[in-house]
Amino acid sequence: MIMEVHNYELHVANVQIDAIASSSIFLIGDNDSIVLSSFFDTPPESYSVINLVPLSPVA
Amino acid sequence: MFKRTANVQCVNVVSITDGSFLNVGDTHLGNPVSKVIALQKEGATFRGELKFEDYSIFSQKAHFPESKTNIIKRTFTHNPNIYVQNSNVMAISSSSIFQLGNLDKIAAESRIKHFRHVIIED
Repeated sequence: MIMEVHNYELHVANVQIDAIASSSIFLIGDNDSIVLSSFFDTPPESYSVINLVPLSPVA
Repeated sequence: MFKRTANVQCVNVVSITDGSFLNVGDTHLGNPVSKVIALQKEGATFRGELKFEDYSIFSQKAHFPESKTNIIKRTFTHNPNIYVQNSNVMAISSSSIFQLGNLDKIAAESRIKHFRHVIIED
Protein backbone atom coordinates (compact mmCIF):
# COMPACT_ATOMS: atom_id res chain seq x y z
CA MET A 1 0.00 0.00 0.00
CA ILE A 2 1.35 3.41 -0.93
CA MET A 3 0.18 6.33 1.14
CA GLU A 4 0.87 9.85 -0.06
CA VAL A 5 0.45 12.75 2.37
CA HIS A 6 0.38 16.40 1.34
CA ASN A 7 0.72 18.79 4.28
CA TYR A 8 -0.50 22.32 3.71
CA GLU A 9 -1.26 25.02 6.26
CA LEU A 10 -2.68 23.54 9.48
CA HIS A 11 -4.45 26.00 11.81
CA VAL A 12 -6.29 25.04 14.97
CA ALA A 13 -7.91 27.82 17.01
CA ASN A 14 -8.94 26.20 20.29
CA VAL A 15 -8.42 22.83 21.90
CA GLN A 16 -10.39 21.96 25.04
CA ILE A 17 -9.57 18.63 26.70
CA ASP A 18 -10.84 17.41 30.06
CA ALA A 19 -8.42 14.60 30.70
CA ILE A 20 -5.56 12.74 29.05
CA ALA A 21 -5.30 9.57 31.12
CA SER A 22 -3.94 6.00 31.25
CA SER A 23 -1.09 6.06 28.75
CA SER A 24 -2.82 8.35 26.32
CA ILE A 25 -1.01 10.85 24.14
CA PHE A 26 -2.04 14.28 22.89
CA LEU A 27 0.37 15.11 20.10
CA ILE A 28 0.70 18.41 18.27
CA GLY A 29 3.25 17.44 15.64
CA ASP A 30 4.36 14.57 13.42
CA ASN A 31 4.52 10.88 14.17
CA ASP A 32 5.77 7.71 12.47
CA SER A 33 4.34 4.74 14.33
CA ILE A 34 1.89 4.24 17.18
CA VAL A 35 1.33 0.87 18.86
CA LEU A 36 -1.23 0.81 21.67
CA SER A 37 -2.20 -2.00 24.03
CA SER A 38 -4.77 -1.84 26.76
CA PHE A 39 -6.02 -4.35 29.34
CA PHE A 40 -9.22 -3.59 31.20
CA ASP A 41 -10.82 -5.90 33.70
CA THR A 42 -14.07 -5.52 35.60
CA PRO A 43 -15.25 -9.09 36.13
CA PRO A 44 -18.52 -9.75 37.99
CA GLU A 45 -16.64 -11.06 41.00
CA SER A 46 -14.84 -7.75 41.31
CA TYR A 47 -18.11 -6.43 42.74
CA SER A 48 -18.39 -8.10 46.10
CA VAL A 49 -20.96 -7.35 48.75
CA ILE A 50 -19.49 -8.04 52.17
CA ASN A 51 -21.29 -7.92 55.47
CA LEU A 52 -18.34 -7.33 57.73
CA VAL A 53 -15.12 -5.40 57.31
CA PRO A 54 -12.45 -7.96 56.34
CA LEU A 55 -9.58 -7.88 58.87
CA SER A 56 -7.06 -9.66 56.68
CA PRO A 57 -6.67 -8.43 53.07
CA VAL A 58 -9.10 -10.10 50.70
CA ALA A 59 -7.08 -12.56 48.56
CA MET B 1 12.06 12.34 7.36
CA PHE B 2 11.14 16.02 7.21
CA LYS B 3 9.33 17.10 10.37
CA ARG B 4 7.02 20.05 10.85
CA THR B 5 7.20 22.71 13.53
CA ALA B 6 4.38 23.20 16.03
CA ASN B 7 3.67 26.87 16.85
CA VAL B 8 1.45 26.98 19.92
CA GLN B 9 0.45 30.38 21.32
CA CYS B 10 -1.00 29.40 24.67
CA VAL B 11 -1.04 26.16 26.69
CA ASN B 12 -3.15 25.91 29.84
CA VAL B 13 -2.75 22.74 31.91
CA VAL B 14 -4.26 22.38 35.38
CA SER B 15 -2.67 19.18 36.68
CA ILE B 16 0.03 16.72 35.60
CA THR B 17 0.22 13.66 37.89
CA ASP B 18 1.30 10.01 38.13
CA GLY B 19 4.25 9.81 35.80
CA SER B 20 2.85 12.05 33.08
CA PHE B 21 4.57 14.95 31.38
CA LEU B 22 4.12 17.94 29.16
CA ASN B 23 6.85 17.66 26.55
CA VAL B 24 7.92 20.66 24.47
CA GLY B 25 10.26 19.72 21.63
CA ASP B 26 10.94 16.54 19.67
CA THR B 27 11.05 13.04 21.05
CA HIS B 28 12.14 9.85 19.30
CA LEU B 29 10.49 7.12 21.36
CA GLY B 30 7.63 7.27 23.86
CA ASN B 31 6.80 4.14 25.85
CA PRO B 32 4.25 4.99 28.56
CA VAL B 33 3.14 2.03 30.70
CA SER B 34 0.50 2.30 33.41
CA LYS B 35 -0.72 -0.39 35.82
CA VAL B 36 -3.74 0.60 37.91
CA ILE B 37 -5.89 -1.13 40.51
CA ALA B 38 -9.01 0.96 41.15
CA LEU B 39 -10.67 0.05 44.44
CA GLN B 40 -14.01 1.60 45.41
CA LYS B 41 -14.76 0.42 48.90
CA GLU B 42 -17.15 1.14 51.76
CA GLY B 43 -15.63 0.96 55.22
CA ALA B 44 -12.00 1.01 56.14
CA THR B 45 -9.31 0.45 53.57
CA PHE B 46 -5.98 -1.11 54.40
CA ARG B 47 -2.67 -0.33 52.68
CA GLY B 48 -1.32 -3.17 50.53
CA GLU B 49 -4.68 -4.91 50.40
CA LEU B 50 -4.53 -5.60 46.67
CA LYS B 51 -1.23 -6.48 45.04
CA PHE B 52 -0.31 -6.47 41.35
CA GLU B 53 1.24 -9.97 41.55
CA ASP B 54 -2.08 -11.51 42.63
CA TYR B 55 -3.82 -10.79 39.33
CA SER B 56 -2.98 -12.22 35.95
CA ILE B 57 -4.04 -9.09 34.05
CA PHE B 58 -0.77 -7.43 35.07
CA SER B 59 1.43 -10.28 33.87
CA GLN B 60 -0.29 -11.15 30.59
CA LYS B 61 1.89 -10.56 27.56
CA ALA B 62 0.67 -7.82 25.23
CA HIS B 63 0.71 -9.30 21.72
CA PHE B 64 1.56 -6.38 19.51
CA PRO B 65 1.16 -6.76 15.72
CA GLU B 66 4.45 -7.66 14.02
CA SER B 67 6.07 -4.30 13.35
CA LYS B 68 7.11 -4.92 9.71
CA THR B 69 4.23 -3.20 7.89
CA ASN B 70 4.55 -3.07 4.11
CA ILE B 71 3.19 0.48 3.79
CA ILE B 72 5.16 3.01 1.77
CA LYS B 73 4.33 6.48 3.04
CA ARG B 74 5.43 9.49 1.01
CA THR B 75 4.98 12.85 2.70
CA PHE B 76 5.08 16.15 0.79
CA THR B 77 5.28 19.08 3.21
CA HIS B 78 4.27 22.28 1.40
CA ASN B 79 4.04 24.28 4.62
CA PRO B 80 6.14 22.95 7.52
CA ASN B 81 4.08 24.65 10.24
CA ILE B 82 1.29 23.63 12.61
CA TYR B 83 -0.45 26.56 14.29
CA VAL B 84 -2.49 26.14 17.48
CA GLN B 85 -3.89 29.26 19.14
CA ASN B 86 -4.67 27.94 22.60
CA SER B 87 -5.03 24.52 24.10
CA ASN B 88 -6.64 23.97 27.49
CA VAL B 89 -6.14 20.65 29.23
CA MET B 90 -7.63 19.94 32.65
CA ALA B 91 -5.70 16.86 33.68
CA ILE B 92 -2.87 14.67 32.40
CA SER B 93 -2.49 11.56 34.55
CA SER B 94 -1.27 7.92 34.83
CA SER B 95 1.69 8.02 32.47
CA SER B 96 0.25 10.11 29.70
CA ILE B 97 2.11 12.49 27.40
CA PHE B 98 1.15 15.91 26.09
CA GLN B 99 3.68 16.46 23.31
CA LEU B 100 4.24 19.83 21.66
CA GLY B 101 6.44 18.80 18.77
CA ASN B 102 7.26 15.54 17.06
CA LEU B 103 7.05 12.11 18.66
CA ASP B 104 8.33 9.49 16.27
CA LYS B 105 7.51 6.15 17.85
CA ILE B 106 4.91 5.41 20.50
CA ALA B 107 4.39 2.06 22.23
CA ALA B 108 1.80 2.67 24.95
CA GLU B 109 0.42 0.11 27.38
CA SER B 110 -2.21 0.47 30.08
CA ARG B 111 -3.60 -2.18 32.46
CA ILE B 112 -6.54 -1.33 34.75
CA LYS B 113 -8.43 -3.56 37.15
CA HIS B 114 -11.51 -2.39 39.04
CA PHE B 115 -12.83 -3.52 42.43
CA ARG B 116 -15.99 -2.47 44.25
CA HIS B 117 -16.54 -3.65 47.83
CA VAL B 118 -19.95 -2.71 49.18
CA ILE B 119 -21.12 -3.39 52.74
CA ILE B 120 -24.68 -4.72 53.18
CA GLU B 121 -26.92 -2.36 55.19
CA ASP B 122 -28.71 -4.86 57.49
